[in-house]
Order: sequence, then structure tokens, then C-alpha cells
Amino acid sequence: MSGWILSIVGIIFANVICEIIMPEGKTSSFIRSILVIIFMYVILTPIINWINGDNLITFSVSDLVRSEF
Amino acid sequence: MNKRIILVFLVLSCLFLTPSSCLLAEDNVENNQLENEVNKQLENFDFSNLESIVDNDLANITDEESFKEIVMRLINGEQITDATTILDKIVDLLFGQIKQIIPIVMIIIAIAILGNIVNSFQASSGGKSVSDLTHFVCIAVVLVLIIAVVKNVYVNASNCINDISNQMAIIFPVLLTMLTAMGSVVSVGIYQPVVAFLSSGVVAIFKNIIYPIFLLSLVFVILNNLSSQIKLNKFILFMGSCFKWIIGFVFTLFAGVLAIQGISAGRYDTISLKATRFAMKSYIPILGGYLSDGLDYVMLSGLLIKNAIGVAGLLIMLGTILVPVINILILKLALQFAAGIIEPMGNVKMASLCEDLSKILVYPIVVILAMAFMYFLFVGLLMCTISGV
Repeated sequence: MSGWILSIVGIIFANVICEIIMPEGKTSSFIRSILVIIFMYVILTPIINWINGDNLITFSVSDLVRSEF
Repeated sequence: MNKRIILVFLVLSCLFLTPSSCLLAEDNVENNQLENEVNKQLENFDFSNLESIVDNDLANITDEESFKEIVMRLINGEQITDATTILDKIVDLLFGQIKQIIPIVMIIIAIAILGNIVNSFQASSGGKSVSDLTHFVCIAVVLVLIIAVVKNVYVNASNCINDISNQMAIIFPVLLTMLTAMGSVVSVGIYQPVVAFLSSGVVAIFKNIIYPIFLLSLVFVILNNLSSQIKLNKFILFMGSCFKWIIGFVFTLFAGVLAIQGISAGRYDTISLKATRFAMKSYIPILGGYLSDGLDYVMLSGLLIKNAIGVAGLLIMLGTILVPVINILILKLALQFAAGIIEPMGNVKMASLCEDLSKILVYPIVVILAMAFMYFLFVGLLMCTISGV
């Protein structure tokens, strides 16, 4: 979970820095769209992992109730 | 003649005085018996676990020292605390928090003004990327400040939830034991899973699902205002929607289904109790009446103690949630105030950052209040069970 959040933060920071240091021109829009695609991939990572069989949330109410008694 | 008047007077006085004094005496005896019963039962309770937790929370609302003292005062019908005392304490808390938050607000506003001045110099020389950079640096500095405060809020809120769940884990077994002792076996059978669900299940859901959602929306709000190209508004709305649905679901499950079940169970136990008393009175020869009266005293004292413990528990809960809720509320208002001051100066991005952050801060308040309300509802339900002995 925290790895996911950190990767989102990282990709956005990369994006912001690119925005600041990139010169105005035709190639800048290409680079931006590539960054957006990478961002999309990062945001969708948990869902991809989930479909591939990694459990996203391991939490069960009945286990908790049972452990109480 | 004189004698006759005196005689009439005497008879009249006998008529008027005797019954009332007799009643008074009987009342006193009843009260004493009840008080003895209450004291005897109360001595057997051990609240040391609870008192070690609630020391600080108790100081927020009353001047009383210990939990047991509050319970005793409630049973005797004495006033625990003045309305004015509580209000004074709340006002003190408010002003203390405001004083703490003022420097942070001032620094945020100062950074915004500084960024504006630098930007206006840049505009004359015409450098777009340099103004972007100054904006980025300003927001980064403000974020360092705000994140430090918000982390504090997050820790406070999760501590508060922990405290409430610890209090539940101590108060509910006592109340349920009292209920069992008073013969409401059916209610206890129904309430016990509810207690488990509330004190561990709901807390686990809040901590493992709701708080991560809060943190995630916080991160997304910050990133949304940092980058001008990648916008995350819809994703933040999605997170908010998840939050509302999960809270609503847990709340409905708890308040709707279980409360209604509890009410019907309480009714059933009251009826069975009345049947027991009737059976005792009419089927046990000679002694039946006395035994039934004795049963009444035991039941009444149990009822008094149960309700007093419930009320005292609610008071402590109030003291627990007061500080975090006021803390978050003040931070939220301060951020909104900062946004209001920054916006007219032309620094729209920073104003929108403050505004969005203040919107996100509603989440921990909602979580704490939801938890408190469920606790309140459940203690109220336990107090209503067998209230009409």
C-alpha cells in the first residue's frame, strides 16, 4: 500500500520537474503523454496485481469476532 | 367543652400525622435497604483497569478524581459537574488550540505573500519556468508545515479510536455481567456478538480501510495541487465516495439491524422477569411475598449501578473525543481562513491547496463521531434493557 502511494508521489514529482525544466516545443507534448501513460500504469498496479491473484486486502470480520471469544 | 376540643384536636392530629410518619419511616427503611444493597454490589467491582486509562480524559470534563466516585455520585442523584464548568473547559480548550494554530497560519500567509512578490518581479522580466519554480518551492515549504500538523491530527485521531475501543472493552463486559445477573439472558445472548462486532470489527474496519482512504485522499489532494498537468480531482471524488459508502454501510448494519433486535430482546426479558416475580409471589407459600420483595431490591440496585456505570462511561467517552475533534475542527477552520486570506492576493493555486486540505480533514472527524455515536447508541440500549422492573 505504502509502496503504491510512494510510486504515485514519485511519478507526479517527476512530472512536475519535467514541466519546469522542459523547453517549450513539439517534443514536450510527447514526453508529457509518455509520463501520463506511466502514471496511469502506476495507479492501476493494485488492480492488475489483484486480477493476477495477489490479495489486495487480507481482512476478515469473522476472524476478528472469533478471536474475541 | 375544653376537654372535648382537645380530644377532637388529638384525634385529628392522630389522623393526619400517623399515616405520613409511618410512610416516612417505611420509606427510610426502603431507602436504607436499597443503599446497602447498592454499596454491597458496588464494592465487588474493580475499576482499576478503566481508571488507569481514563485519567486524562476525565480531567477534560469534570473535576472528579475517579470513575467509581462518579458512579457513586450518579447513584445518589448528586450533580457530577456544572454545565458552566464543562463549557469553561471547552472554551479553554478552543482558545488553547487556536493559539497553537495561529503561528502556522501566519507562516503560510507570509510564504504566499513572498511568493507573490517574487512572481511579480518575474512577470516584468518575463520568465515562465522561473515563476513555475517559485510556485513549486512556495507550495513545498507550505506543505512541510501542513504535513507536520496533519500527521499530528492523524495520530491523535487514531489514538482516540483506540481509546474508545479500550473503554468499550472494559465497560461492556461490566454492563453485560450486570444484565446477566439481573436475569436478562436473552438480551445478553444477542448483545455479546454486537459487542465483539463493535469493539473489534468496527475498529478494525475504521483503522484498516477508512484511515488509509483518508491518507490516500490527503496525498492525492496535495499532488493534485502540485502538478498543473496531471489532475486527480475525479480520483479524490472516488475516494470520498468510497469513504461515505463504507461508513454508511457499517453504520446501517449496526444501528439498523442490531438495535432493533436488541429492543425486542429487552422486551422479552422484561416479560420473563415479571413472570418470575409473579411465580415467586404466588407459588411459594408464606415466604413468597418477602422473597419477591427481596428480589425487587436486588434488581433495583443492579439497575441503578448498571445505569450509573453506563452514564459514567458516556461521560468519559465525551472527554475522550472532545480534544481530537476540537483539534481537527480548529485546524480545518484555520486552513479555510488561510485560503480566504491568500485568494484575494492572486495566489489561487495555494488557496485551492488549503481549501482542498480543509475539505479532507472532515474525514477523521466523521470517523470519531461515528464511533462515538455507535458507542452512545449501544450503551443507551443496554441502559434501556430491563428499565421497567
